[in-house]
Amino acid sequence: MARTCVNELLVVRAGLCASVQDLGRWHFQRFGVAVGGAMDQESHRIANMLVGNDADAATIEIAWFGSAFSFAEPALISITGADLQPAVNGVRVPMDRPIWIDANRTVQFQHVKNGCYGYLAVAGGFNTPQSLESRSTHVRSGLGGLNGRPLQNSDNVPIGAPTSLGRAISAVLKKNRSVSPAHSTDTKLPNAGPEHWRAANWFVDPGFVFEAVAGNAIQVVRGRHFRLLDASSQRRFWESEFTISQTSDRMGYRLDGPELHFVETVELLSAGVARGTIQLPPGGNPIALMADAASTGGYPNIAHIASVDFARLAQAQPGESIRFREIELAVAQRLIAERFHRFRQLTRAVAFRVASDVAS
Amino acid sequence: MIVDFLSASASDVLGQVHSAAQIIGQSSLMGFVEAVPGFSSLTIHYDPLQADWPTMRQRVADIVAKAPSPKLPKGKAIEVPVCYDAEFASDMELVSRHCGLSTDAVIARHSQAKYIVQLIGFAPGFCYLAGLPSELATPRLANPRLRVPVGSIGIGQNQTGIYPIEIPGGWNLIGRTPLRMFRPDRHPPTTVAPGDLVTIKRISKDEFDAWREPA
Repeated sequence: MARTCVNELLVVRAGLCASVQDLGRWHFQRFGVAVGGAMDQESHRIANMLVGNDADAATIEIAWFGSAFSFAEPALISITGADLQPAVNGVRVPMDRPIWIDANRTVQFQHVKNGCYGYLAVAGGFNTPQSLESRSTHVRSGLGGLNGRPLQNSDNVPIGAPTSLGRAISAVLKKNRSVSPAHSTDTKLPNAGPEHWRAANWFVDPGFVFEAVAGNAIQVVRGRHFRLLDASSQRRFWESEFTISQTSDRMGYRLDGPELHFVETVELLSAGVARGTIQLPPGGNPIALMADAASTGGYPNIAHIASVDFARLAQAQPGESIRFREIELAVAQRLIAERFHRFRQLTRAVAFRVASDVAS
Repeated sequence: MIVDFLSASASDVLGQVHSAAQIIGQSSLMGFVEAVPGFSSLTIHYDPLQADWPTMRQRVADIVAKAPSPKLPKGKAIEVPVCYDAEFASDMELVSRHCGLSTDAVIARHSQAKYIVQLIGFAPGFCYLAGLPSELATPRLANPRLRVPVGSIGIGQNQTGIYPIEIPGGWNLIGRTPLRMFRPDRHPPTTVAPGDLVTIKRISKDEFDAWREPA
């Protein structure tokens, strides 16, 4: 299906690993196809919300450092997630708000200050071809993105048509009334550069989404094989700190810490797993399955990360320590329902704010 | 949610799993996202915003209880061309040593057996085939390969399977098929489905090279 391409992103510098991602490739797991999708789907959702896109529009996920992009035509963009110190033509631009950027300016990302994965959204979404109903890049299976691989220097990434909300946000920013950084009361924002870009004077506070959990623990639900752990391993799982290993990637985060063992060897036949499943291989170091995890696995499942805390874990860097705290499944489901309620509130608030800016 | 199936025989369990998957898939169950068969279980992905756990568990239990007598779907017969040339059989020596059989005997037994597709999983289109002659069972490699070439035929314990894409893998490689097992541009994207009956047509290196994918 050919869709009109209204703009294009040029990859000036690919960086370590920048890839096209959406909410994942659902409905094909019975064919062995992994779901994949953005590691931090909450930041991905906020990025889309800020430019008037649907939540499943494709964004570019930027891992760690080094990517730089420019747009063939003026574009409405937003940057969320990890703080990769984004700048346009050398001048820092704010995160978590809509930014109108002129054609042929370079958006550069530097070293990550906190977190791992940043998200760049554009009004209209990145419009790469779908494969199996998704644009998510799954490198291991060669699906999605551009030819199933991360972005490379000089790639051209097509951009779709903005929604009416996206067009309204652009129009407000271009009017340069009450919304350019120069007029902002926020003194932390640079005044320079309105000829290159204009950012809204409002933003979405990610803290509204990622409420703090006591002791920064990752909330988990007990897994079906947890009770087969020996008593001291059960205790160690709740009481110890685990460090995210350097060998972690989009498939899984290896957790170094005290070794955990079962009372006796657990032999299992392969069964379905999901992002957030914490498996325990025979070595004794658990692995938290992340976005690119396979559809099935054969290791015992000792816990599952509550969906509300998955993004927080995804943004934890190798070398960081985490703890687990047990919650009941019913609580985990209530928490994710509340989270989505907040997203709906935020979406309405963005539309309301834009409507009042258009009217003023 | 994971539904476990307990049955005396492996093929009964597989029948239960796949008939439940089919029935649940067609049931327009509120909140249902997708069902993923395992060897003896069915994993159901659902949206907790549309149906919470107690509700979903009750509905799935009701549907599974009403399921007609489980049978593996009547599969299609498919002939897979396999070349056992040394070039494609990096672990043939290991397998033949482990099994105490000559290379020719391994090839004869492997290519004459009748297989049934048990499961697609682990990677896009990766099929686990049951029916490996027991004398060919060989433990997985101690150190998995980082890249197994597309189409490789492997033996892992008492199963054999086909690697549909280039991925890391720990099975013993004894041959290769030119047949594409995973095609994301088609529906379904896999060449075989659980329940399909697989036979092997032994081909030479020349035939492998000259292979043209049927339209």
